[in-house]
Amino acid sequence: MIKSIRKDLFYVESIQAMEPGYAVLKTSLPEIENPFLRTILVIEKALTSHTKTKDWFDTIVDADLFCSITDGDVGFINQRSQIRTVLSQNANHNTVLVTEQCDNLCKFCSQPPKKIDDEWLMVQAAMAVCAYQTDAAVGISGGEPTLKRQQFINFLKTIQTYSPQTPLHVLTNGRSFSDVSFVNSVYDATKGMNVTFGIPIYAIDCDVHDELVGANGAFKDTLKGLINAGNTGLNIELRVIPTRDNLDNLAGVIELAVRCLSNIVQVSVMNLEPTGWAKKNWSELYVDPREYQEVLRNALSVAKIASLPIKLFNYPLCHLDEDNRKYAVKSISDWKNYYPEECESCILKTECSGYFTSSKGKYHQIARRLL
Amino acid sequence: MNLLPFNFERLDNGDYFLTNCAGYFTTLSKESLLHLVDDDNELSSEVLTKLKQGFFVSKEDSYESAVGAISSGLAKKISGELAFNPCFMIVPTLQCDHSCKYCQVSRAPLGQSQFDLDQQSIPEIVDMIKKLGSPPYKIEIQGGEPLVRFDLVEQIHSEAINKLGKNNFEFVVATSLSLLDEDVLLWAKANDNVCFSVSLDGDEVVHNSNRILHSGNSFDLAIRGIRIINETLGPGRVATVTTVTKSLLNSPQSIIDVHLNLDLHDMFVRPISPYGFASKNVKVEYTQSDYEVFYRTLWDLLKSINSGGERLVEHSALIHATRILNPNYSQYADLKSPSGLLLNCILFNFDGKIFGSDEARMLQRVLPSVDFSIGTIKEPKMLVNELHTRILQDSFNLVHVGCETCAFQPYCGTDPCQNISVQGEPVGDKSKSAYCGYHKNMFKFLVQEYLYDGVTKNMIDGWLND
Repeated sequence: MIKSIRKDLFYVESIQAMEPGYAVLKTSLPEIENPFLRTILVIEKALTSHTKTKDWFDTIVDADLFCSITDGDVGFINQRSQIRTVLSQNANHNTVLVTEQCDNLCKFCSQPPKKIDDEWLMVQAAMAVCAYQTDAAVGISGGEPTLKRQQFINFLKTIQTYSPQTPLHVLTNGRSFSDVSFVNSVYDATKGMNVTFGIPIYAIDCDVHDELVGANGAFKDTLKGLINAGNTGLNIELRVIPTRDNLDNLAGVIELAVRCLSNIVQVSVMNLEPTGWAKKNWSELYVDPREYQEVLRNALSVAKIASLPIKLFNYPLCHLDEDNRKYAVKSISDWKNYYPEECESCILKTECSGYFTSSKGKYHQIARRLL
Repeated sequence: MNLLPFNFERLDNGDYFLTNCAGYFTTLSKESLLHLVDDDNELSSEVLTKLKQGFFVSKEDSYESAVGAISSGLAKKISGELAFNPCFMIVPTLQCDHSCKYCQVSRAPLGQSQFDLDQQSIPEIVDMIKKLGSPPYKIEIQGGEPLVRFDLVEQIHSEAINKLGKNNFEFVVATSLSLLDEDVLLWAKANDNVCFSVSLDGDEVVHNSNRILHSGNSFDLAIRGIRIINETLGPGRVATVTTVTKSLLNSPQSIIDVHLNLDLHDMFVRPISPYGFASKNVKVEYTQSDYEVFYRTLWDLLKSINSGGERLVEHSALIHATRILNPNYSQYADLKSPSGLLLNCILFNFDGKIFGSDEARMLQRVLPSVDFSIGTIKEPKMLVNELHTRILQDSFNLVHVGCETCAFQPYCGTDPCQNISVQGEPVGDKSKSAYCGYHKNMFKFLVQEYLYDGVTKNMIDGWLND
């Protein structure tokens, strides 16, 4: 296993007995109960001065975990006696998972959906955000967060009431937004907050999009959803992943954003991430960025001329032509980010996104000379 | 395949330029165009992909999506063009030391102080700017020659600093620079939001034959002023406007030389205004095709200069290209639909009247029987004068006869004041419209150059990416 920049998963034998779900992790003695989540005191060594003094929190002893968290972080305990730091001051991005169900089955899904009843996840996620009380952005991801519409509205309203200062970035396929009344409800439930919806559209050709997302009729819904959401005033980050199947649609997607869609705050062109189903479809989907620098250049220019902000995500700088590099951002979340040995001597390392830890073996594209 | 609505225009090389109401464009050979209309099975997959991505055709099952997309595009375009984002023009005086032969009625001889703005109204004007606009405010001082009453210009500026905040507005003074003196320079030096806009019509002979100054040499004073501004205030503080008259037609090189000799790297070249009042005193100067020949030569010169590494931007071309390539660009009042009247301009005239454009105040002088104003500074009536609502309502070129089938309609605009002046009503017969002739030719010329000439493409892309 390649080591990531920040470790986020810890095995702690003593939590075996604890209920799965979110908890506030304290490194100092908790004085008041958190109104949203249970509290766990994390201590480095079993010392008498830190013994449990109240019955409303648990205590766990783990030096590794203690050193990796900041007082007040939120962790998630699973059924395998593991604890994952989900909302952490030490992380460069914080994301909560609100469901594992989805109505698309994308060929490159990094978090393949499960057909299980997981309503409790969204309720707990709302509690986690409210318990954490941050004014830094929190990512909301799935599955498809808007699949159960009323539940999603409740989720937003809870945060709107108890933590309106927390900016949210919601990853959604946008299909639910084809229903204008749902868009209006979302608009109301996010009023006074800073919320952006990251919505991917992979092609202008409906067959290409539907094939990539594994759902007939998805294009129709997503396009209508984008139009409705933008016209209603929801902020949209438009996302697109270039693959062998949709490369010739990339400029078209950017022009759609420029000419037909409103309220697009950013377009994000994302390099394929070798995680989840992208692995099994890798050879079918992945195109070496060297093959499409000109396509990128044209797409970037269409956006630039119309003053539409556009960014390239997850591209090691050495995989881009020099003039395209200025659009690249250091984007990979620290818990799944690493730099192979050959990057050590690179002059651009500090500005570079580096690699996904999952990009090993046949998925790894070697670092190249900067030209 | 389902066909979606589009307009088309034959280009000089025999290809066709296609556009739709969302502003998408593409080109097709004549053969492909016929296939598209008669039997799209004959189209190559490459051409079909191009057409589908611009929503010119769609598959049966995504027809509804395609219609949704272009409808949304049209709505986006119209709501952008309807945005109220005015440039605030103020005329402190009509007095002018020049008596130019094509002057658009907006001058009075020196010494006639009845053509000056009442100083007391300046605070009210700035209050109104604050109320109507939003930062960054654009304020443009027109004339007459505004520097005849530099005291008023200075007062407007300081009032704006107090009420709008010194970093919240641009301040452009349209002047011949003949009266530029130490006081004006010191003032401009102390206020870096002040810029000058100067007419520069050609070399000495050409410029002075248009710009008649009895007290001196207009050309000498203009270039001396530009030099001093560049030297003492630094680059970017003075811009030029070139009105092409007959005497410049045969020497496009001269206007380029004048700019480069002054180290000016931006120019704005336009034909003489066809307004009734501008051409009244001047016999019809030249035809549209004369201008076209002139502009083509100018363009070739620009290409060789820019590809040789020296930057020289021609802003008329840049505005037309931006209209095609950037659907969010609606800031240029003279090239948009609906018209920029009121939406893009509020003009405070010396006599206390308010107008919706510079042309409207000129119309007022030649057609005194109709009230073209939107009230006075004391008593504004923005929404009361029905004339404006009617003119604006009738200025959507999408539904103008002649425009509705034009391939350049999504990028073009309307000029109701010109139509009233020349044809007596705001829509106008486009076959007789100088506005149509000029802009359609510019679009067609630039489209051909941009899409088929690599040097032009590089040059325009370079300008756009500045």
